[in-house]
Amino acid sequence: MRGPPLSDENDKTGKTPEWVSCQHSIDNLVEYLDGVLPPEMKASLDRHFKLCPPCRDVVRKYRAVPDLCQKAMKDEVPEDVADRLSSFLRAKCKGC
Amino acid sequence: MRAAVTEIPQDDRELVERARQRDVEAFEQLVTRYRSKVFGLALRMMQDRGEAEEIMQETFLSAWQNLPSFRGESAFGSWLYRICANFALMRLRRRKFEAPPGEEPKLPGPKFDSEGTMLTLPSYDWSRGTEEKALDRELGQAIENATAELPVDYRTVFLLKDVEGLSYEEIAEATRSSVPAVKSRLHRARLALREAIESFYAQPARRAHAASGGTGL
Repeated sequence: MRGPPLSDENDKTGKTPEWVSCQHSIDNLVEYLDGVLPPEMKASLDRHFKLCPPCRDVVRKYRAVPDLCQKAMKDEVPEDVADRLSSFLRAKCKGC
Repeated sequence: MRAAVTEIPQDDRELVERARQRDVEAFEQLVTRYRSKVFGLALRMMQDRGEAEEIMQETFLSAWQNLPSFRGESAFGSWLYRICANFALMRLRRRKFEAPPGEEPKLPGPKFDSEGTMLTLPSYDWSRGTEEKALDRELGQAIENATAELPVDYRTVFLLKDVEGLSYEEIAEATRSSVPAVKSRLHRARLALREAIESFYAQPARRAHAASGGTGL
């Protein structure tokens, strides 16, 4: 979408949050999703994401990235590597 | 998003305390519990199996030697991952830089016009149901490949934050950078990985497989 939408929605204070661009909204995603943005800025991003389907799509998928990557990175140490680790620690650690 | 772990899990607490008192069996249990994750972190940072194994050995040796001074202010796992990351980063710093210092690498991400308006249109929503379903093996490989392609500083931050759950402060200390720099690299890494997953699902066969309720997403 280009520029601010025609219909404005007021935040809880009765003021219309400042319209911010897609780039500005996406640039602040880390702190937005961590919940640490100042209230006025959060309100602006809330408004933007409510009214901008492309950005909403990016946010939805951005949120899913960590969980997907954690699933992709479930590891098991190969047995030979584990054996060498045990031997190494026994040799290096007194009493291991 | 998963928050960083800030307390030692109850089942670790007893083992850590015993290991601090030089209980070898307790330390061996901790090694067994964490060796896979430490190896995985080292392997993804170094992209070399031999170096990853050496770093894993160094990590646990260092943990044994320094355990008496571990005060439990962070999770034991977080402490281990920081040791591992430090060893890996020391080796990586001896290598050539991937980009000249001071130059920001170009990573994939959404495109904007000159006014900051998004040019990327919504596409197939692969984010639905990720919690319930098992991961498609090929998607998993695509994610591994994309992670390996990240510049090392971005890859390190992403692995420590989104895979291992360290705090921004812990990562900043481990990587000798600032919290704002950590957040910036994390953001760009996430955007790049999002693009990689988008590309995976841009293949029509992938979407059809997912839509038909295949074993993956």
